[in-house]
Amino acid sequence: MPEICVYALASRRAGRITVRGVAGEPLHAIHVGRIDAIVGRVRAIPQPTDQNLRRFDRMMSALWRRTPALLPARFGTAAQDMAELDAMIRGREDSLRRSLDAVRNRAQMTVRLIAHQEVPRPARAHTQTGTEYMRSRQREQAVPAFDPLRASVRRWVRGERMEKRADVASIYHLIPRGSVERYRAAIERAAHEGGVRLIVSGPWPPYAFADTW
Amino acid sequence: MPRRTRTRNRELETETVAARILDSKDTSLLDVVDHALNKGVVLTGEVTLALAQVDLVYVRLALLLAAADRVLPNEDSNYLERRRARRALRRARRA
Repeated sequence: MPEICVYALASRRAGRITVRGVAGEPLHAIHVGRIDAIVGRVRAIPQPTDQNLRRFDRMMSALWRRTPALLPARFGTAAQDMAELDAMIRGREDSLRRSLDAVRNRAQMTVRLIAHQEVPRPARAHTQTGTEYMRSRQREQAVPAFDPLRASVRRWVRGERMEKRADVASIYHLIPRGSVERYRAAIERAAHEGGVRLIVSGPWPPYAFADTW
Repeated sequence: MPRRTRTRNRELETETVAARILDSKDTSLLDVVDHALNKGVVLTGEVTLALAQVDLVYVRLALLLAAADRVLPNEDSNYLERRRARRALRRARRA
């Protein structure tokens, strides 16, 4: 049975979408309230293979470059018919519109650094209360090496998320699209001065800032 | 087109798994996987139970694969730590 593959949500836009979906299918904007769902009709939902994930990423970047406000969907998000698509979006329209406003004309930048020497892992076995647990989590997630880097780009940052997995700490910044090169130069300069080794990548669609979807 | 740049510390740390990942030539794959985990990946499947060529039950399943800390943001990614923390919380509630 053909499925509606949902790729992203966007603020209402005019014009035809020239970008193609993961399976090479043409994409359409379907109006649901004051939001556009960018969808493609496919025979089967694409599998999350290496090749398809890369295609999805390229397609999302191309869509994002042509759209002022875009929230990427999860890979594989599907609806069987228009009623299901409508139900997916309609109940959350207000929060989705707020999220679209938050990412409008903004780009995600990703900064990664190795954080294994940063914070010794506290002994959790002695954690007794919920408050203590939350404090110990906060200490674990802290990455002091990021502080001077964050300060160097604060003027452009409109949203921030930070996380640490294994030894790699990642910081996601939401910045104006027009400030990408200045942001990159500033954070690289701060890293060089502080002797911090990092990787900056972007600009990307706001994957890390699309929690409501 | 997104660009990637590296800034090297003169006092490079000893090689770790993390360092090898960051040093990989294919950092674009790292970004692709990171984006997928940030949002999660949905796997869907359908099952139809039939008897004597009569469809009786139709089941549509959606499985979400995502980094644990994205779905449970206050949880530790280490299972043992997670279990210890939950036990501590239970003890604290009982006390």
